[in-house]
Amino acid sequence: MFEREANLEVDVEIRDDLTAVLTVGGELDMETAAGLEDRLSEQFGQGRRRLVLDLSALDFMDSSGLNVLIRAVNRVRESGGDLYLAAPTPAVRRILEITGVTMTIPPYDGVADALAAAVAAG
Amino acid sequence: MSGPRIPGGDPAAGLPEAGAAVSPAPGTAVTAPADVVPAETTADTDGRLAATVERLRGEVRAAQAAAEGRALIELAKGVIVERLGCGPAQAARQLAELADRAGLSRLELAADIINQAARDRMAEAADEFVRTAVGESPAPAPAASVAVRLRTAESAVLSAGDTQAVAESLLRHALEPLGAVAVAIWTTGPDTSLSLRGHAGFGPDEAARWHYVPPGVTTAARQALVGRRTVRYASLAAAGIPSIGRSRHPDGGRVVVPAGTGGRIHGVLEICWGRPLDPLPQAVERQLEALAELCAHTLEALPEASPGGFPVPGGAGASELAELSDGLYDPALVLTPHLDEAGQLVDFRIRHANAHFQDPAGRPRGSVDGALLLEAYPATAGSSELFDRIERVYATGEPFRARRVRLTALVDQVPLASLADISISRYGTSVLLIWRVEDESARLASLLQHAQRLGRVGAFEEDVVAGDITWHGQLYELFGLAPTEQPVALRELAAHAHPDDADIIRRFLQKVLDQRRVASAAFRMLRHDGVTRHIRVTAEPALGPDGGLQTVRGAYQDISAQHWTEVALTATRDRLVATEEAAEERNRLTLQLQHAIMPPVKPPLDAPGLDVAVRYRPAETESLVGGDWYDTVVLPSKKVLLCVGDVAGHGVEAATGMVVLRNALRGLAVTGAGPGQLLSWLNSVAHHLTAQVTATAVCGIYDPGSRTLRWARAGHLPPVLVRGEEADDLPLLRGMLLGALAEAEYEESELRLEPGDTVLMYTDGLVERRDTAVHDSVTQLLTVARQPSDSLERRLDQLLARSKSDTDDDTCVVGVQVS
Repeated sequence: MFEREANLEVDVEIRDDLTAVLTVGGELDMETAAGLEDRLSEQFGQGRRRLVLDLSALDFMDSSGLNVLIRAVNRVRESGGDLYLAAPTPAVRRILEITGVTMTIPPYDGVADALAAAVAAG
Repeated sequence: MSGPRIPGGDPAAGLPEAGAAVSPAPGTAVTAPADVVPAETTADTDGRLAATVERLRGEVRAAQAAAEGRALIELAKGVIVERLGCGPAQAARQLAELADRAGLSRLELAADIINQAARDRMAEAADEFVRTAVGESPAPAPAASVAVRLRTAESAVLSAGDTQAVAESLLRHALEPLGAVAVAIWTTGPDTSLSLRGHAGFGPDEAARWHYVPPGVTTAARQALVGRRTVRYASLAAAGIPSIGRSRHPDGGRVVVPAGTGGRIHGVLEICWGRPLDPLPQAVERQLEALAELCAHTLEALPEASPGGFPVPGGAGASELAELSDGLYDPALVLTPHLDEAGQLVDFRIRHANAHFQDPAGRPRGSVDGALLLEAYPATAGSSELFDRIERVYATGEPFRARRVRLTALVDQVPLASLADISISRYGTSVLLIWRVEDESARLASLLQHAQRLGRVGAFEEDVVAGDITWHGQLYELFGLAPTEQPVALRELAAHAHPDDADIIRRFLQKVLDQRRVASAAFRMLRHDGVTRHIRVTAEPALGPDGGLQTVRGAYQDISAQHWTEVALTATRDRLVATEEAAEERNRLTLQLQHAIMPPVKPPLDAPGLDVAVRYRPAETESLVGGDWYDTVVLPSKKVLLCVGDVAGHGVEAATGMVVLRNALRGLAVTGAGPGQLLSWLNSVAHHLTAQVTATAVCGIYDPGSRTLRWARAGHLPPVLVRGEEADDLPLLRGMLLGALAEAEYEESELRLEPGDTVLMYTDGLVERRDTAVHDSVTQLLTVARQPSDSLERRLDQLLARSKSDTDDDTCVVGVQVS
């Protein structure tokens, strides 16, 4: 039996009325996924449709984390926006590739690239 | 203030709240003595109202005698509409609720409301409002309120013998005070033509010119009919629409209101103003709609307006239509409207499923015949909009034909989309729905019927006279009996059921054997091997030539998976109030479920030249037992389905998702489709599950003849090939995890195996580590796999023993070795 502290940090930086960058650090798993989902819903609720996730400090992600990303991307796309993943660590990038999530949410090298893509998408 | 009246003014102040504040209860209030008459009321008005009330009282008696108080209830609804500013449907609910609270019948309460309403002056405020808003100067000061005028019109309408009288009375009592100069009442013919039934203010010449409007000619009235909504023209000429009286009042405004009851539009009420019309206050529009509804009641009572009367329990014409439909070569349903207590159309009853009927979900004709449309086909209310279309055809009479309409049917809770050509038309009070499914979709539908067959359904036929019993399909397996054993007779069923379900079975048998009706029951089957299954039995009696009961036909279905889904839902709901004990109970259930579906021992598999071994290790922490699954089964084609999957999450929800996906894949695989196509279907199954699960899976079809393995993956780690001293993971084919998108495609690859080759499929419980990238864990796994091993079983034990996982996840490994 494993006992671990819930280990996820999410910082939200609001860029404009439509855009927010969420920096996600630590481990995104069954225990912490709901935390990220809440923060995403919060931004979505405030009308932000362009959500950039900075994953450069995310060490681990499991299927619960993936599900949060999938639900979020389906939701923002329904309202004409999009979800952008920036700078995943090799471990997380590998998970995204194995699960095929990169086919529907292609990751960007950095936050700047993701933001540029978000602005270009309108 | 005028004293007691029904609670009102604010539609938001619903009755439940009002009940606490207003004392005595509303029902009592409206029956209060009628002596609270405002002193200012003129003798003239008084006399007229007294007469109205008297006549209404007479109507109460007449209506009661006829056990049909609709007219009066409609009047009372009209009062509530005006008072609460709500729509007719809400008014009906309010009326029912008030009656309940007061312990009166709806009819008695309606009479009370009308009596009371006729005696208070509250509506004078509304009168003032209407006068200023409409900008007209109607009747002089002592006039009765708008409400009273409306009611007078209403009662006059109800007492009028024909529609012509109705039109005249409407104009005089209700519409002239609003500044209107003329009114026309149209009825709709079966061909959507319009006939002028009543008119006032247009003059006889104009009425003669407009007595009939053929189908397809766009007039103001048709706009309202086709649009099924009130249409307002500020000026008819400006709108460029022809209609009765346009030459006389070219710039005049029009309001055209569809007049319908029970979901069907019987006619159109067209009101004409002499000058351009400003937008009407909402309250006035509601009054007009209430009048239109009243018109509809008079229209449907007219023999020439509608072949069928109200209500339509049998659906006039339905039987002729049923015969006609049997002559069609396409599947067809005869539908009649199903109304709720308030007279609102809520559903359609399937009166007849024709001879060529084929249920998209693969059910027998008898299970659909007689059912409500939305109950038999819940998905028609969804995105296919089929229900809306039927509703629209029924309302307007305008037929609907379209090619390639997307239809959705639920097969085992899974929506299955197909394309079909559709025709919907109205005959009398029935609707005929005909469809022709495209070949491709028909193919898919039959595939899913196979899947359903594998959903553990078995048919039976029992000759109750001779005692012969025939069992088909999987019934022996379902009952846990050997095929050589004697089948179980219906009367002995209770002996195979849980004692608590004995009553259910007794009632079921009574219905089938004694009352000779189709019946269905769900019970727990206790098999001799100690396994409990949840079974639904449906049976239909068939009579012999002498009219006595001869045979009973039916089917048993193992609904355990569905049952567990319900358990999962209950568990989710209970989570909020869950106690420690309940949580333990759920975990126990999950574990039992896992074991019931996938025994952790090797399944017997009769595949020539292929050795199969599996290892399944549930998470140590019971609450973390999840949705890992494997399946190895020989298909009818003698090819072998090999699969490993992982539903995201843990607990009952993940485990039930696993059951559904595993069964679905097993069923779909029988079709002979390749692994890419199978995963594509499975993706759609996962996507449409209510719980919105995602899952990963790898799926292979091995052909022993050619020793080839075709495989595809859905977001899952690719299989590992061990050949000699080498072990490598197969390429990462394109394939999204299941359930994330509505549609997905899966890349397929083929691998030719050599004798001695081993293929390993596994879930990430085997490799997942928090401190190590998946890539490194897989490398370690490959290292273990390269070690020599004297048997496949040993190899799997080694893998499990050396597995590097630290996340206490389920772990599942399937290994196959070519011998």
